[in-house]
Amino acid sequence: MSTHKVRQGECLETIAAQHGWLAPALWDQPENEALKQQRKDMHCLLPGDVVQVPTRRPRDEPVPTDGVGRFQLKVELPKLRVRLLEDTEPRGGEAYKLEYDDGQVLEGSTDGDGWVEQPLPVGVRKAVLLLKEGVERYELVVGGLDPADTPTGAQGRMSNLGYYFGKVDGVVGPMMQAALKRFQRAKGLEASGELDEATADALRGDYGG
Amino acid sequence: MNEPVPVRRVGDNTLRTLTVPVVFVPGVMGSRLELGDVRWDPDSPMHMLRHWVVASAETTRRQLSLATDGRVMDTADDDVPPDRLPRGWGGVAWGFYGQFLQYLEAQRFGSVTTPVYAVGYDWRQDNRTSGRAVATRIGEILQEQNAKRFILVSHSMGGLVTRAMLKQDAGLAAKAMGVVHIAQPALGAAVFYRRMFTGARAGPDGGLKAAPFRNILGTSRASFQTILSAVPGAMQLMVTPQYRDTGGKAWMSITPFEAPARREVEVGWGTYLEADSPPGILAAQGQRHALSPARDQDMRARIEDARSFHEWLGAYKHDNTWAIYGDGLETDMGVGFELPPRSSHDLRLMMPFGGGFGGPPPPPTYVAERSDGKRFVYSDPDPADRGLVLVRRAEGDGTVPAPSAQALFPGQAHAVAEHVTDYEEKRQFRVTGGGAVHDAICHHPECERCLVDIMRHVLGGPTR
Repeated sequence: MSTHKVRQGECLETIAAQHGWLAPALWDQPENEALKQQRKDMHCLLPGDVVQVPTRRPRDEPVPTDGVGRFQLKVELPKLRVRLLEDTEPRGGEAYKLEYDDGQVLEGSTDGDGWVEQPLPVGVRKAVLLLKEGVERYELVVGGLDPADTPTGAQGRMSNLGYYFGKVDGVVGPMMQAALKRFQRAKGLEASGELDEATADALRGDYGG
Repeated sequence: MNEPVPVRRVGDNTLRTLTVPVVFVPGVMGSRLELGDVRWDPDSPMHMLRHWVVASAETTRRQLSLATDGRVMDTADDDVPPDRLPRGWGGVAWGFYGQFLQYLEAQRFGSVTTPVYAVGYDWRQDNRTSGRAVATRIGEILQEQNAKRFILVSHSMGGLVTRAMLKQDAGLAAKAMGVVHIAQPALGAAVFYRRMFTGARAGPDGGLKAAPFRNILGTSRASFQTILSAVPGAMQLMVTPQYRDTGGKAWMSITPFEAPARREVEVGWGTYLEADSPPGILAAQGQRHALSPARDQDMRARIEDARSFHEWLGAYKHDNTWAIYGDGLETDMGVGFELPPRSSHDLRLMMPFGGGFGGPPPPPTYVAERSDGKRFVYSDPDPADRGLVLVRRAEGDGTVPAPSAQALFPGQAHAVAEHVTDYEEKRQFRVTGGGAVHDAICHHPECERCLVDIMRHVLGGPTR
């Protein structure tokens, strides 16, 4: 048994891969039950969270003598999924270029609902999304989004949804409160400026998690 | 480049992008113009000196005449960064607005992109005409950015231009997410009327450094009137009938010499054309300070233009309007007149003494004693300024009196408080201190902070 303290930019996929696990299997280990209760979503951990990594148990598989044993590891490469909206309308059928920090450059078009969906190698930390032949340029920090009920997570979501215009620094000051009020008004919630559970839920709802 | 966008590695993400051009419309004389052979280019002191500062009033008038087509300059050989030229930054006076435009350009609004455009215009012409020209340009900008909506920011007379534009063009008005007028003389500026009698004068119109600018405007009653009679746009800065001095008081008073009781004047557009001057601005034909008949007619036409413009515009403002204005600086709030005697019999010539030791004799002076005991000394028995008394108090931005700048939201004078202001309720903000001076207020730090905070409200808020 070992533990892994989550650093910024990591998520369960990268941690599992690093320790030779598959993310869902690691998440379902009884040792991670407490974390599971706290974060609910294995794809959204907070830096400082501790993931328990049990020692892998050997498994016996009988193989006939003189026969060929075929073992297949079923791993699905995670996909980067970003939905692009122009204000409230999906940016469907729009050509884009995605430059990963491992040098890979992917090109494609968003689907009718505005989705960018591309396989994402576990090692990628940054991706640059280019639209309109580079006129629009967004630097995506992969795995950089914290849980919605944390200040940084709320700031990140509100920034990407167009309510918060400051740095994602976790500072709960007047700028963050003003953004929360704007978002709460837009969602018909009480404009308290507080990041309460209803607001975090509404953020998850609008953002997609 | 926007701020970095944090996303989840696994699972869904949403990126709501939006491009909202920010369109800045400058004040009178703030656009650089090509006018035939000459340029109006405050960024080129040598050119200004050669073609404007030393020019006679008639030359200035001819150079400003609408008979010459004006074109907003879109090239620059000065400090406008080359990559900014396509966004019109070369068309406005960089010395006035450069710092402000660069500040706006440096602001980031998350996933919202806000390219900053400057839209110069031919400020000589009627502000409705300028409004149409600005509207055309904004149409091009929206197309260029493939944007549906924009934010409008104006300085000074740009406020009249943009209000005229929005009132004329409902389609464009619907695309304005927010409109912020900075230092708008919504009801005119008393300094403008005052100069109709004094010209631009050292002291109230600046110190030694402002001398070249005063020369351009005209330093006498006749030269100021001669120049302005050619410029309908600027003439729309005349004080409107809705203007009141602080506390709702009349802004003009006249005390005749012969019956020295101070009379407050209710000023309407017709007042400016009255035969008696003051309150009329034109000396009667045949009198010493009269303009030539042609210029006199031009001035009457300009007053009619101004009346027509303001009666049409009224108190119109766009629904999503905010205003920022400067206060606390010595400003012409109105004018008073202590009229000189009508008859020369009331004047006593004081024969100059001295001039000895070979020097020239000092000029003669005249003294008149009014029936209330007040004594007046004149160097000219028929002074051009008609005994004008300055009415200046620290209740404006040095040019626009606060009651005019406040006119869109009477009584609102909120302090700037970033991030905590309810901008739905609070619409008008007051900034003070030396930096609030009319020509520099755009880059007053409080003005900048207020504007950007209003932009956050607009971009992330209910008008989206």
